[in-house]
Amino acid sequence: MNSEKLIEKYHKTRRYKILFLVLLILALVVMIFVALTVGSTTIGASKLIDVFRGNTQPQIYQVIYNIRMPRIAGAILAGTALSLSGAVIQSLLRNPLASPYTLGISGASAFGAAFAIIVLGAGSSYADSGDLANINNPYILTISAFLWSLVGVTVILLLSHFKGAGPEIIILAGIIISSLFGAGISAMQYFADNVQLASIVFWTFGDMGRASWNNVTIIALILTPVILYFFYHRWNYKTLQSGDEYAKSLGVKVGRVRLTGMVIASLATAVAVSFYGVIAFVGLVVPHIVRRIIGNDEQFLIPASALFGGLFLLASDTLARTIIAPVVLPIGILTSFLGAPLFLFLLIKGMSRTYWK
Amino acid sequence: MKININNIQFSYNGTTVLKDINCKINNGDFIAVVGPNGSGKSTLIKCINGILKPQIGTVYIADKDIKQTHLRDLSKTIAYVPQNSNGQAPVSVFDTVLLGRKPYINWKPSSVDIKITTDIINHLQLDDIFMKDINKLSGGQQQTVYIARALAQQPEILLLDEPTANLDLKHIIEIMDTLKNLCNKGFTVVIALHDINLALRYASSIIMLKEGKIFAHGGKDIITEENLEKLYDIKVKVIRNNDFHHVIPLGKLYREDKTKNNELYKTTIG
Repeated sequence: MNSEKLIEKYHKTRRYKILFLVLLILALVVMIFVALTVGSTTIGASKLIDVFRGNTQPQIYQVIYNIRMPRIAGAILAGTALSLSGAVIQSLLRNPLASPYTLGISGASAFGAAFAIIVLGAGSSYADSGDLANINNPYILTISAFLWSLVGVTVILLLSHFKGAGPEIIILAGIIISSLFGAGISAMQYFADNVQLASIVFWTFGDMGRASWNNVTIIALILTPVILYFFYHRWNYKTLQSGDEYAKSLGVKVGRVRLTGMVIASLATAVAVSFYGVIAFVGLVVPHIVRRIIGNDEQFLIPASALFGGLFLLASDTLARTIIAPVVLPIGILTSFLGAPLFLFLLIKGMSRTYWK
Repeated sequence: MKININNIQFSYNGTTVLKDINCKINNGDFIAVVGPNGSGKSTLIKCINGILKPQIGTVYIADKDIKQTHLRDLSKTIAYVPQNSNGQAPVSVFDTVLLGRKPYINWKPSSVDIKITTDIINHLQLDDIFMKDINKLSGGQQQTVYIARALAQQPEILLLDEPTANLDLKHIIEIMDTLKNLCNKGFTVVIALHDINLALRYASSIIMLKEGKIFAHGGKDIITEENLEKLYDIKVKVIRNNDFHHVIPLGKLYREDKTKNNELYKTTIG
């Protein structure tokens, strides 16, 4: 085969990956439109246009602007944060089973958030407010979730660094970290009063109903530099796929790249978890699906995981709002129900493709 | 490109792995580093390309101290093929070879990067498998891909850590012939090897390492029965026929001071 033919084939593969990104953007736009229209009040396309023109009833305006739009934005951002963290953590640890959830980072963040609500007084609970977990200091909550998530990350990094632990050991460590922090949450529940207890239990379900313009803004402000950082380092992550020593020989500062990458991925996870609770499997399943479609190419994996994560969580949340309407399911329950069999399917179908040696 | 290894010492966790290593490697040399397991072959290779930093001494590449050079820039001169590829993610052959262009890529691969990658793939006859997952290739094909990846760096020096381990005879010869051809084109090749006969057949110069020190350095004539017996603690026979040298391991060496056996040497063969 001459070089021209090879180059042409390479460009064809590249175009296919770009097409996938474009399709994801289009699907996201369509999904946003669907999510705006469906729900307890169906708002048709013409009414929606009226809302944006400003001539509509205050009630519908209220539903679109203050309920559905922040919820949609929250779902997209949380999905992006979790999937992107999952994709990057998998690349950094060269571990296909790694994700914020399976490594216990989500669990540690959840503990940190619960700790902030109960011990640091970041959340007050009013039984009559209609919102059991009323967060009055989102900053303390996020910082606490982030700091506790670092505890989980530190254990993982120490294990992989000093013990050279393989993928299975890391996942077992993740299970241990998850159960440890699960026990911590249980302990806090034991000492909490009735209202606090209800609020923690309610809070630990991942739920997009807590999305507000306030927390969406905070997530967006944190997530934007995180996305840029990960995208900037995509070639470093790609190089790590060929082993630490080879990466070092190309001038990649392996230790620094891995440490900062893990810390930043934890931050992204902690922000999503601290506002919306634990949303399982998104960070694990989404990067896997993307890898199966476009291969292990971090150049495209990182933007595609971000987009697909947003799309996946928005679609799941829209389903959660409508599947047994008027009851709105917490999204964490739905993603667990969807994610577990989907992951099992991926394991059985695509073992060789998605698994590292 | 000249390599000057100047009195380097490397310790790991308090154990001295390399000590008093001094040697000069000239442009176009094919150097084989041989020695028993744990003698420091891999460590020496990693010190030359800067992955490991010797506590004492330094390595000069074309008279430049590598401690003063950024590894990214150094990787445009030296390419490294690691010993094993365990933990290699499932990536296509093309993407693996393209990775060798990383020192030159800033935002995305340029048309020059793509051209060089495809030319090397063609040159090493990997074109039929260029979209295949590297983990699904045979050991010989994988090793060829890693050499291709190293060549994509457009280096002048190639460092290889036991590239023929786990390969069958055909692939060993193919890989070694490829390296010899590169050497003839002006590349400097430094290769850690276990097989003395391969070293004898291909290398222009041999470095024998023992317990982290250079035991002998020179041409084929340093491969003597006496040297090999001291190095490996086994009995060997070296057959010399004009330019052809061949080493046959005969068996375990029983020294008088090690055993109380009256016989000086006991061999299983011959």
